[in-house]
Amino acid sequence: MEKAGPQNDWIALICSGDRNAMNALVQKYYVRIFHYLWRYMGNKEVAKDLTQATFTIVLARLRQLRDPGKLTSWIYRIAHNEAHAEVMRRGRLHLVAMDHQHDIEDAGQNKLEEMEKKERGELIQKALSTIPPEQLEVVILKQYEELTFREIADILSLSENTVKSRMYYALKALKKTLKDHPIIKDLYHEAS
Amino acid sequence: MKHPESNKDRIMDYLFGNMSIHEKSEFERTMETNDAVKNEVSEFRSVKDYLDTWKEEEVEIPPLEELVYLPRSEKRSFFIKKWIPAIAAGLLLLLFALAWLSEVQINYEPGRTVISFGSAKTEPPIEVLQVEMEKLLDAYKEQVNDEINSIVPQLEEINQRVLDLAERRTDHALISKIENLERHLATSESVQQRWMNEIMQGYTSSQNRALEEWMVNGLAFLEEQRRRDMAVMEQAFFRWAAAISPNSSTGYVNDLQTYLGRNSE
Repeated sequence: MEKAGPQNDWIALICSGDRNAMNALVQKYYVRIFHYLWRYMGNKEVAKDLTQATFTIVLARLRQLRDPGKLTSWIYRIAHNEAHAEVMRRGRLHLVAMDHQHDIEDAGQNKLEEMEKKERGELIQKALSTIPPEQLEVVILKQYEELTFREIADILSLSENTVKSRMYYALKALKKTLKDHPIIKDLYHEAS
Repeated sequence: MKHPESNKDRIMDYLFGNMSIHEKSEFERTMETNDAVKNEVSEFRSVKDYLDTWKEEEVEIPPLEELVYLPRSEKRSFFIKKWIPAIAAGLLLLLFALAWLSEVQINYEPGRTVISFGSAKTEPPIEVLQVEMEKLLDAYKEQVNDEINSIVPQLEEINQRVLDLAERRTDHALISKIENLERHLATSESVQQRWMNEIMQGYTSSQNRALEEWMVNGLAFLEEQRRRDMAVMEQAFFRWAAAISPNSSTGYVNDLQTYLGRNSE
């Protein structure tokens, strides 16, 4: 939970059109929102577009934020809604396939370390793509965005218990995938 | 706490450091006695560690202007600040140029301002026109007054006749109407009053009769009850007296009856 006092002043400055305050907001949240959307959508270009759309909405609707202490959750909720709308339009699985192909084409130009890093990322992404989307978003928000269960519950409009339950079943499903998949299995054992 | 699924909330809280020190040590004690939960936590931790190896890539944050469209109001204020003074200055210059080219003349007079273009205009002789107009108006007013004065006596006569007629007609008709109405009202009022009196009288007398009847009956009833009660009490008293003095009861009872006045009855 953010501190309400300075947060209020900051939000008031952004609403008044202060460029520095707007820039500070983008600097603080851009990378987080981009990675969240990229991990969820599985495609960098789409994630970029959605991040842009998210910040356009955030800056346009910031006056409507009732509780400045929940700014982070509010921004993630907007990003989540944008991602869902995109999934409804194009489908997430299709996007994952698109990005995978794109990265393989680029891989030849990168160094070995970068390739390994990418390969590992792709495999984890592949493992994550096997779990249901409602579990995936909880995993991303908890594991990678490091939000609290309460914040995730606010973003997804769920109870905390439901969020914990989804996380539990997601880990259980991932455990099975990581054990069964031949290539992932090796990397999994290396890591653990 | 046999099956791990029954503790999924606690497992998640433990795994993600969402427990107090006390809760944590309690859960760790539980794990020592429950292998299923212990194994599950261990495996989940491995999955978590593996997921952590997917590191974030460096991302270039685009400039604000590229990322979002600036609010329209800001663009408009920028436009206003930059261009409106320039346009205003241009329009002012154009006005002066036109004034100079068209030989504009501005004349101030009491009550009016005349702006004219080109060469100087000759004003009409205002004073002369005004005198003529006043004369014409006076002549017209006189004519109208004469006409009015000639018809006034006729109008007054007609008015008097109308008033007389109206007064005569009104007197007879209205007075007779009012008298009739008053008579009618008085009659109906007295009739109503009589009816009401009769109703009230009838009602009151019947009420009184019923009340008197009820009181007489009630008193008779009470008197009867009193006599019965007294008779019962006397009998009871005499039995009691006889019981407590069996030897001299007759004389005592007789004295008592005499005292109570029973013998005199």
